Amino acid sequence: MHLFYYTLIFVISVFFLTGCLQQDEEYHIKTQVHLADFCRNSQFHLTDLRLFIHQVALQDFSGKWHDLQFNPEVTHQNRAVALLDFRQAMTSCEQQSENTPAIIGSLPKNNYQSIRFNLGVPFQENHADPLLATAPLDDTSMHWHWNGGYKFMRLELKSNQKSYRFHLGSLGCEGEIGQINHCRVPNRIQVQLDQFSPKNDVLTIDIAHLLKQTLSIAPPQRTCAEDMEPRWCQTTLSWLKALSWLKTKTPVHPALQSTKI
Amino acid sequence: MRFITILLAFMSSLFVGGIAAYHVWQHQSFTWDLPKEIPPPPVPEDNPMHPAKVNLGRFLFYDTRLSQNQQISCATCHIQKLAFSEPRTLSQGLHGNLTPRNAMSLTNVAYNPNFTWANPLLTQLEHQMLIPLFGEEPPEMGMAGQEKELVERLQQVPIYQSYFSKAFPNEDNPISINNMIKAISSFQRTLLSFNSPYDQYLQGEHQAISDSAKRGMKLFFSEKTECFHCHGGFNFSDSSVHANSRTVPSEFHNNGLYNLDGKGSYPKDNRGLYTFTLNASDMGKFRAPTLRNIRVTAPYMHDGSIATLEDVLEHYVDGGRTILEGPNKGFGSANPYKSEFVVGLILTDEQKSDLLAFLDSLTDEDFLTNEQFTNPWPLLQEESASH
Ligand code: HEC
Ligand code: HEC
Repeated sequence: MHLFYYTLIFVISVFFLTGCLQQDEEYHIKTQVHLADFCRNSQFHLTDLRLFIHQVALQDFSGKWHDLQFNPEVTHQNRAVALLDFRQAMTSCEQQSENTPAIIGSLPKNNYQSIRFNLGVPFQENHADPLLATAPLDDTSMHWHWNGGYKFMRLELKSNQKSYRFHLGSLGCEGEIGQINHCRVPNRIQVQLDQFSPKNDVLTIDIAHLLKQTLSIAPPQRTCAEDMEPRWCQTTLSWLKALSWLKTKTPVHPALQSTKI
Repeated sequence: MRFITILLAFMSSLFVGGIAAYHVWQHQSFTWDLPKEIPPPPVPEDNPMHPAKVNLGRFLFYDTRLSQNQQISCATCHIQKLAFSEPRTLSQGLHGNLTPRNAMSLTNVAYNPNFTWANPLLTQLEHQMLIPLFGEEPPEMGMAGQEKELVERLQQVPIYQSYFSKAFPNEDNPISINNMIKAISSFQRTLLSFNSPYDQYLQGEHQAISDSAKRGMKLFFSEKTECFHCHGGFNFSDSSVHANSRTVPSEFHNNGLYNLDGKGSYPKDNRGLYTFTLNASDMGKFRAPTLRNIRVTAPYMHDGSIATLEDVLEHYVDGGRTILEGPNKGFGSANPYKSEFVVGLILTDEQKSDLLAFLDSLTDEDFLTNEQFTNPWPLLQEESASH
C-alpha cells in the first residue's frame, strides 16, 4: 500500500518537474549602445566597449526573481558569464547597428517586469588559472592579470589628440594567480533596471550619460587601476555605479525587436 | 591507475604506440646544470622540464612573431650579454610606448617566488608571461586579443610543427598559446648562473677573486652595511625559493628612493607593492633583485633611475636619495616606510671600492656567453644553408 503511494507521489512529482522544465523557454535579450547624443556633443569617439556580466535575473509580476540560465553553446557565453562586445555596434552614430550582442538564456515561461545583473566576472571564474581559460574568458584583451583577474569592462575613447581608457576590474587582490583569496576592491557592480521586458525591450547603454561628467576632466595617462585615484577614474566609476546610463528602450528599428524562440 | 593504463594499452594497439612514445619522451629526462650545493628551482607540476621544451622555448624567446608588429621578441628587452636585461632606463614596447619600469635581468629567474619588480600575484613564470605578451599597460608585445592570429603565425613555421609535437607529444593540437608559454618558461628556468669568480672562490679556488673583493665580501655580509639582509642567500636576494623550500619568502622593501610629499609617496605608476595590496605601508616596497651579474645590468632600480653601480652605493651610503628639483623632489632617506636596514653608511673610499670589487666578482662570463642561451635562428639558417 505504502509502495503505491510513494509511486504515485513520485509519478506526480516527475510530472510536475518535467512540466516545469518544459515551461522554460529561451530568451534573446537584445542590447544596444546609444551613441547619437554622445556623437553630437563631443569631439571624442568611442573605440571600444566590452563588458562581462553575470547572475542575470528577471522579476515576474508577483515580485519573484528568476535566474536566467546562460546558454553555454554560444561563444560569448559560458554557464557563468557573458561577454557583451559592442565594437561592431559602434560603427555609426545615428543608425543602430544590428550587430549588437544578445544575452541568451532560458527562463521559466512568464511575464517579467525588471532585470538585474552583475557587471563583472564572478569571483571563481575571475581568479581561475587564466592559462586554462575557455571562451569567453580566453579573449586576451579582457585579461588583466597584472591585477590577478579580468577586465570587467573596457571603455575606450579617442579624440584627435587624446585617448581615454577605462578598464575596470578587481583591485587589491591577495594571494596568487589561480589562488586569489580576496580582493579589497572587487569592483563588481550590481545593476537593476525596472520596467524592462525581456521580450520587448532592449537593454540600452547611454554613452553620453555615462560620460557626462567625465569628458571635461583631464584623463590619466594610463588606465584606471591601483586606488582609482585620478579624478577621471573616480568620476567614471561613480557614474557607472549610479546606473542612470542604463535604459530600457523600446526599439524604433524593427530589426531590434527582441526575438523569442 | 597504472593498471588501468596497462589495460587500456592492451585494448588498443594504437594506444600502445602512443604510450610507448610517451615513455620515450619521459625518459629523455632533463638534468639541471647546477653545482652540487645549489638546490634546483621549483617547477610547476603541470609543466615538467624536458629538453624538447627548453629547445622550443629558446626559439620562441628569440622569435619576433610573438609581437604585433613582428619586430619585438622577449630578447629585445632581455639581452643575454647584459644578463638578459637591457641598457634603456625604461623599456620600450610596441610603437615606442615606454613601460614604467626598467627591464629585469633574468639571471636565475626560476628561483624568484614572485615576478616583476613588485607584483605578489605573479608567482609563476607562466603567468608573468601574459604581461609582456598581452598586457596593455602599456602594450609591450601588443598581442592582446590576437591570440588566434598568434597561433596561426606559429603554425606556419615548419620547424614549429615538429618542435611543438616533440615538446608536447600525444597532443592533437600542440601549437597553442598555453604550450608556447610553457616552453618559454622551461627555457627561462635554464637561465642559471652559478659560475662567477665568487662561486669559484667558494669552491676553493682562492685566487678566483682579488683581495679587495674578499674584503668587500666581508663588508657585504656584515652588520656594517646590512646588504645581506635583503640581498642574501645563494641567489643574493632574500626573496628566493628552491625545490626544497618549505616556506615562500616573499619579501618587499622600501629602500628610500623617493619621498614626494614627505609622507612617503613614490611617483605614480611606480608605487611598488602598494599598487597591489593598497596598504599604505606598502608604498615604495619592491623586491630586492639578485645581485648576480649586477655589473652588466645598468641602469639600476625599478625605474632605472640610478645610472651606475657606484651611484647605487652612494645611495646606500646616504641612506636614501635626495632629489632637490622637479616633480620627484623629496628626501628619500626620510621616507617613513623605508626599511630599518637602510640607515646610511660610513665607508672609506677603499671600502667602497672593495664592495664594488666584490659585486664585480658576481659577474659570470659563462652565463653571458653560454651558447645554449644564444639566438638559435641564425644557427638554424646556417644549418639549412649547408645542406
Ligand atoms: C618591451 C620590453 C620587454 C619585452 C618585449 C619583454 N619584457 Fe620581460 N620585462 C620587461 C620589464 C620592463 C620587466 C619589469 C616589469 C615590471 O616590473 O613591471 C620585465 C620583467 C620580466 C620578468 C620578471 C623577472 C623577475 O625577476 O621577476 C620575466 C620573467 C620576463 N620579463 C620575461 C619575459 C618574456 C618571457 C618575454 C617574452 C614573452 C618578455 N619578458 C618580453 C621588459 C620586457
Ligand atoms: C632593506 C633591504 C635592502 C638592503 C639592506 C639593501 N638593499 Fe639593495 N635593493 C633593495 C631593493 C628593494 C632594491 C630594489 C629597489 C627599487 O627598485 O626600488 C634594491 C636594489 C639594489 C640594486 C639595484 C638592483 C638592480 O637590478 O637594479 C643594487 C645594486 C643593490 N640594491 C645593492 C645593494 C647593496 C650593495 C647594499 C648594501 C650596501 C644593499 N643593496 C642593501 C633592498 C635592499
